[in-house]
Amino acid sequence: MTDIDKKVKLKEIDERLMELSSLFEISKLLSSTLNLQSVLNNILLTPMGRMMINKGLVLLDKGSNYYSIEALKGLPHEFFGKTFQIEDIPNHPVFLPLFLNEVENNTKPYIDFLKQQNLKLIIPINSSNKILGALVFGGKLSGLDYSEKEIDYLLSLSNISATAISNSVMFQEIDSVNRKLDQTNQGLNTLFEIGTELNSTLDAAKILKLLGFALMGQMLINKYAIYLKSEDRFELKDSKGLRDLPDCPQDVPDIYSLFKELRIPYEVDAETDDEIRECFIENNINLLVPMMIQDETKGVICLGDRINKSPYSEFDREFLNTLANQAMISLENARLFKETVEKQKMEEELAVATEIQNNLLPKRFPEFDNLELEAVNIPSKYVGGDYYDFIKLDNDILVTVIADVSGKGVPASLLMANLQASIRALAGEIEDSAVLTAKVNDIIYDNTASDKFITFFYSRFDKSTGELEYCNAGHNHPVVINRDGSLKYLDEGGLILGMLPDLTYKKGLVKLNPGDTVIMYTDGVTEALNHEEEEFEETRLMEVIEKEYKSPASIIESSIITAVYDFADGYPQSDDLTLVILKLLDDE
Amino acid sequence: MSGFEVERRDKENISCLYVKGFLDAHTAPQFEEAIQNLVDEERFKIIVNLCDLTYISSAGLGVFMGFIEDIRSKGGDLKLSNMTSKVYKVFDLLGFPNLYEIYEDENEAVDKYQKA
Repeated sequence: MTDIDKKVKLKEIDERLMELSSLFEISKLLSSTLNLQSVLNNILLTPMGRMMINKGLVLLDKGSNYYSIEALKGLPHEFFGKTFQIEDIPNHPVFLPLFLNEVENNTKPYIDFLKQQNLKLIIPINSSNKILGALVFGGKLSGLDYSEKEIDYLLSLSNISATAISNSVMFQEIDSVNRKLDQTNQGLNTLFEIGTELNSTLDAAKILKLLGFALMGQMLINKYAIYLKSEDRFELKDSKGLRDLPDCPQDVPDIYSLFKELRIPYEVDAETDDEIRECFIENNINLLVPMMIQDETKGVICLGDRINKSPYSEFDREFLNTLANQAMISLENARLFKETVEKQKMEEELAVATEIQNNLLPKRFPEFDNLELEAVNIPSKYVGGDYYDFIKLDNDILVTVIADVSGKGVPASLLMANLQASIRALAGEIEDSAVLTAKVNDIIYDNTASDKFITFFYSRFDKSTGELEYCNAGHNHPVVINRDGSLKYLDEGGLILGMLPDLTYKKGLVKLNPGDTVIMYTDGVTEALNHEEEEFEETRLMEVIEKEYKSPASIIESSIITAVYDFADGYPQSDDLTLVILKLLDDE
Repeated sequence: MSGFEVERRDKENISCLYVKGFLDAHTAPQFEEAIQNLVDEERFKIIVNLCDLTYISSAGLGVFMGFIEDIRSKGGDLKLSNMTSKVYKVFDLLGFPNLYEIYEDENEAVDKYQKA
C-alpha cells in the first residue's frame, strides 16, 4: 500500500469513526429524553449540520394512513402540524426525483407539497414491525447528490431513532391521556363544588353569579348571557361582556323556537339559519347550552368566544350540560321558595286586613224606637274595601254611612280606618251632609295616592221630622221604597271621594213615613257573578225588593242575600258584599 | 369550609393582593369584591400573589376572567405570582398560562410593570 493509499484509507477510517461517534452520541441523547420534540429536533439537526442540508422535516404516523409534520427545520413554521394522507409511504430510502416516476399518480397532495418545498430525500423510520413515518430532507448546500454512504448513515440514524421516537410518542400519548384525566377530574371537582354551593342558597341572584364564575373559569370565556323562561317568554337575566342583546328573544320567532327546542349544546356556525346567526354572531356568541328540568328547557346559556380560541370538547359540552341543569334546579327551587314565602306573606297580610276591617265595622247597632236597622258585610276571599257605619248623635238623629274603598288588603283597610275616623269626628260637628262630604273628600284626597278613591253615601235621618238628608259621592244609589210600593233613588251628591280637592257636593232630602224602607248596598251585590260570569244586576235586586218590601228588615236582608247566593251558585266572588237596611215602623 | 383571606398592599401605582386559603365558589365573591374595589379606584396595575393560596377552583379562576378584559382595556393588567405547583396545575389545566402573565416571584411582576 502506498502512502497515498494509506492516507486515503486512514481518512476513510476517520470519517467512519466520526460517523459512528455521531450516531453513538445521538443515540445516547435520544435515549436520555422522552420529549418527542427534542428527539425529533436532534434527528433533523444532526445530519443537517454534518452534511450541510438546508432543510428537513419529520412525518409521523397518525393512524389510518395519515401522517403529519411533527418537526421541521429550514421551512416555514406554518407547516407544523400539516397532515397528509399517504397510502404508499416508502419503506426504503427514496430519492424523490426518481420516486416520482414510480408513483402512478404524481398529483397527490403530499408529493406536490414535497416538490414545491424542493425536498429531495425520503428516509423511512422503521420500527420492528411498522413504519412510524419518514425523515424528509432537502438538497445539500454543496449541490451534490447524496452518496450511498450518506444514505446509509441517514438510514442508521433513522433506525437508531425509531425506538426513541416510538417511546416518546407513547409517552406523549400517556401524558396527554393523563392531562385529559386531570382535566376531567378538575371539571368534576368544579361540578361537585358548585353543586354544593348552589344547593346551599335560595337567592337567585347569587346562583346566577356562581354560575357565571364557574362558566368563565372553567371555559375560559368572559362573555356570556343567561336567559330564563318565565311562563312563555325567555328573559335576559344576566350577562357579562355583551351588549345589545335582545331582552326577549321571542321577538325573533326562529330564536324562540330554537331556545324552546334546545336539548343539547348547540354551536352557532355557518349552517345556522341566517336570522339566528346574525343575532348571535354579532354578539360573539357561539355556543348555546340549554338549562333543563326534566324534559323542559327552562333557560339558555349563551357563551361567547373562548379566549384561547380552542373548540368546545365533548367533555366541555357534558360539563356545561350538567352545570346548566344543576343551576336550573337551584334557580327553580329558589323561585318556588320565593313563591311560597310571598304567598304566606300575602295570606298574613290579608289576615291583618280582615282583622282591621272587622274592627272598623260597628259591633252593636244603635237602638231607636220604631226603627229597624239591619246590616251585613260578607267579605270576599281577597278582602275588598266595603264599609258601613251607624252613628247615633242623639235620641232622634241617626247617621248611616256605606262606602266602598278601592283596592284591597292592608292599604284599603288603612284608608277605610282613615275614613271612619274622619266621619266619626265630623258627624257631630257638621250638620250639612254636603258640607261634611266635601270635607271628607278633602281629607281623603290629602291622605291618599291619586289612584285610591272611595264611593261614599252619607245620610242623616231625623226621626222627629222623618227627614232623611243625604249626599251620594258616586256610590250605587240606595233605594227608598214606600209602603205603597213606589220607589225613589237617592242619587244627589257629586264625584267619588279622593279624586279632586275642593269639590262642592249637592245634598238630597227625602221624607220617610212609617212603613218606608231604605236599602243601601255596594256593587258586590249588583256585580255578583254566576258561572256564566253574568252579573246579578239591579233588575234582579229590584225584583226581590218589590216582592219583599212589606216584610221586616231582617227578612228583606236575608231574601236579597239568598237571591244573590242562589244566583252565584257557589261561583267565587271577587268583591265584598254589603247591605244596609233602615225600616221605619208604624207608630204604635 | 376553610377560610379565605385577601389582603391588599399598594406600592405606588401598583396594587398587590395577597390571597390566602381556599378560593372556591364560596369565597369567590370576596375575591371579586377586592378586585372590584381596585377597579373602582382606577388602580389597574394589579399583582395577585398566590403564595398562601392552598386551593383554587374554576369559580375562583372565573373571577380573573371576569375582570381581565376591562382592566387591560384601561391599560392595566392582572399579573399572577408565587403560586404553588398544586395551584399552578389548575391554572395550567384550564389553559391560563397562555392568557395571563405568571411569575415565580412578585418582584419580577413589579419590574415588568415598572419597565413597561
